[in-house]
Amino acid sequence: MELVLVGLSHKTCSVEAREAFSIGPERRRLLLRAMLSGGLAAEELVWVSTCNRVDLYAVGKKKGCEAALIGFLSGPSLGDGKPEEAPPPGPQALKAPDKPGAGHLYSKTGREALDHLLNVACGLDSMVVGENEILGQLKDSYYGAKSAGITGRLTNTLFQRAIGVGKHVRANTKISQGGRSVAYVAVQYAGRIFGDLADAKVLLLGAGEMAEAAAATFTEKKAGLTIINRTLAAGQELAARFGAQCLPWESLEEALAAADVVLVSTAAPEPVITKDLMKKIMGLRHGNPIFLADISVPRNIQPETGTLSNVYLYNIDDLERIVAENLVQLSGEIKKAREIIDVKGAEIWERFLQDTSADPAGFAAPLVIGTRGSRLALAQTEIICGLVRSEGAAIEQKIIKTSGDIFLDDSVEKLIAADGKGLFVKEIERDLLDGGIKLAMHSLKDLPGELAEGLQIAAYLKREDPRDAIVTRTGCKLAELPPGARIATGSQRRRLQIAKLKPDAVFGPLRGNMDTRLAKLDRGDCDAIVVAYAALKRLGLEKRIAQVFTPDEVVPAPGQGIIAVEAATSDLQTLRLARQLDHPRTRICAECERLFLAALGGGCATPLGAYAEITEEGLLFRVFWSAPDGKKRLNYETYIDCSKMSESITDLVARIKQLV
Amino acid sequence: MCIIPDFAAVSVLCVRLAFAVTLLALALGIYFIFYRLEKIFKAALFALGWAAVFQAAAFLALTLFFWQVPGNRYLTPLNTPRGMMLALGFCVNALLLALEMRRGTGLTFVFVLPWSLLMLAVPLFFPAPGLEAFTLQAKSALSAVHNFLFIVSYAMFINAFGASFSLLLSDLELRTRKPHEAAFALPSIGDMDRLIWRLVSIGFPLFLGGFLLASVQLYIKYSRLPGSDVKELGAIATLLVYGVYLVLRKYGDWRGTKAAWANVAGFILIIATLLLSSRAIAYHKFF
Repeated sequence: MELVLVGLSHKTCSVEAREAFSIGPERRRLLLRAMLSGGLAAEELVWVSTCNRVDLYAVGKKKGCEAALIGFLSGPSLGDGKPEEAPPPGPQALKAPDKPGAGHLYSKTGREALDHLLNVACGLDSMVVGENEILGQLKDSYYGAKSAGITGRLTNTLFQRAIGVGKHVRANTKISQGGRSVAYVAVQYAGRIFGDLADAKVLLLGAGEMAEAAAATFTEKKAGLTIINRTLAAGQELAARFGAQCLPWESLEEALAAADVVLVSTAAPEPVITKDLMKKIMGLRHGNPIFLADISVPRNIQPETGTLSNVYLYNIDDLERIVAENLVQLSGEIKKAREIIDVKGAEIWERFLQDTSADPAGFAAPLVIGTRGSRLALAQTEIICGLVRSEGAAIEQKIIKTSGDIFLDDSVEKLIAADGKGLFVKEIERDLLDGGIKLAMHSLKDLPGELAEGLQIAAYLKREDPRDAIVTRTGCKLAELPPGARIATGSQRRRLQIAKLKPDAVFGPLRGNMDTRLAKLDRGDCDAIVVAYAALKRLGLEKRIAQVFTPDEVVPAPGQGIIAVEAATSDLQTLRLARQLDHPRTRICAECERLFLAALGGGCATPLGAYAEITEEGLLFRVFWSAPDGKKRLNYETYIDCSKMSESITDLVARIKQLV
Repeated sequence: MCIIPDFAAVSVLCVRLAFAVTLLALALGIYFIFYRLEKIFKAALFALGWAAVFQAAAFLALTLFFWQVPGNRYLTPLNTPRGMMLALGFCVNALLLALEMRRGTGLTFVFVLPWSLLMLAVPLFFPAPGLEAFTLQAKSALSAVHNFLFIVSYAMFINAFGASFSLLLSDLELRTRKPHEAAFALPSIGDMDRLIWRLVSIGFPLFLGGFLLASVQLYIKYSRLPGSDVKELGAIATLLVYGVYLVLRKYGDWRGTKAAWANVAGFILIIATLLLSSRAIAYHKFF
């Protein structure tokens, strides 16, 4: 796994080009779609889109991911509402002619990408070095991606640490102090007088370059802007660009009385604001302070005006001198900031490398993974073994008989009532705790809400299709089965939901491993069986499937289709290896479903479906609940904010309890 | 046999602790102005909170001390100089704490806490009172109420002074047109102007209420109107200054620096009144 960055910024292209690349709501949807479909070859992703940059940070396999991100960014622009299609990845994508600025993308990987992130967080890569807005923008971007469910352990750590470094640098250096341009210094000093400029009224006299720069800077602070220019047309044009009001020159006195900040940048040969005028204005303002910035040459405000009480006058020399002093100080502060970034970056990178490398050479003997002996369990375990071997470690399987395997003929409900959930798990966990095995394979459906003390789920493998499927003797679909068809299923959840689709069906029990179940069907003991699609796929029995139910028709069980790898919490080396197998999006869905299960409580006999799916709109969570006797039922779906999963699930459970 | 704690000693101990912690809060506040570390600001707030707690404890202990005399039961020592100073110091610190928790400026620590320390110095360096019954005047409910109103309004005016001082410093620094690093820690002139206005507009009616009550008391007891001693004259002058400020702020142009200077004048009057009252033989003699 590698950290990959592809992006562009004010340093590499113009504002028009950056506008074409920015990630608005529609493009965000396309980005998420590409991510979820595997088109970006990324396991985790965060996008940062501001007026000065578009950066995509991803964790994935370096080559494929880098090319895919470049391909996405340099694809055709959205402008006609048509869905965007990413061109094939490759160097040629950088030169897509229909997108201005496509040749200005940069791409970095590994430590370079991290350093870029830290520089951005600290404001060192900003147009105005040390500015604070970028930290807020970075946080918003990170939480936006987290809410959408596309971050993971690595990006969570990187971004949280980067934001921390950004705060640390600002607290320990003076990098964000002092303005770097005349307009910025004017804004700063206006802030010294008025506090929050969002409530301040700014008056610009003139419509030239300096006035434009000032308008841009004050607009960023959300100040109310009024422009007065001798040539009304020029003033109106500037006002239109910044959403400001434009008044005729004759309204100067009224405008001065209403304004808190006045920036004068005209080409008038004589002062337009005199001391006498300002005395009158201050009377109209009831003595409220006013900030006058005279950036004209020759000066357009009489210098004596500054001697009046509550009138603060700065001319161009004052402002330029302050800028020069700030820039001298800034170079020293940038150096300090870079030193901090070097130190913190090294720590973060070392941790990242530890988290992304397994060090298989550290294992003295082959790892032993415990599993049940069923064909499905062995097939699932073999998936894990394949992945572990691809990490360079040797692994062997150990078959362990569980209570669920021993009492195959008893109904699931009877066993659960006697022994609680975990009848397929307890013995394996015992062996894990005793050190007989290093890893344990479980179907997440079989895992109880709380694991044994000292154990944790080290990894969730990429979720197989979690839907339920029906296998019929004749190969026909559910609707095509004759009235009174016998459908066997061991799950009350499936029974109740399928009964809604085929009310005339007759349901019977189903137990045993997949071979036993299919044999029951083939013998004619029933007309159809309902099982998990994932189980059939893993056993290579997809051809037997007659129909796969959509999640809206039959909400899957919580954890269905997910393989969980369990390890001892104290075994750090094995945990580190197992983490390489973790699939971030599956983890989010699994944790969501398990949280829901734990929050809902209730008995294991409650028919319950819960399915979390990361979509372009976010984490969609579907629920099916029924009373054990089937008399009360509820189907519900909502979007969950992944950055506040616990609170969202608690609210959801409360809502569901109200509804039922 | 139940052991009665030495409440006077407890009160003195709490005063010492309050003094030390207030000094710590002041030091942290000064450090914050230059280095602007949020941790330091939070530490200063924490220290200030404890200072207020110790001051409240000192007042409570003093009250329990006096309650050992049956005739003093259920009366507060607000009418005693020591009690008044403790209550005033507590109000100043508590109000400063509330303002800083809301605004987070950090600056008023520096301009207000020295006065808080001065108020703590009085019970710290002057000997503890002997255990005696309150005088008739000290038992008077009207006196207690008017003292309470004066104390709360003084706390408002002292904090308004802190804001005024900050505003004037900002004004001075801005007029030099040479940026000073520490000045960036000062809150905006507009914010301080509004804060001064709010504090005085709450403090003034309380002060006026206290003055009127005291006048009624004076008339009932001595058949005369206020104006015969330093404290009364000082109170009248203070009322005039703050009253004129309020009127001219609303209807004139007394904002920004003018408002700040008016508040500085009012504050000087308050300090002078408190100090000079004790040097003149009059109805009000605090030390």
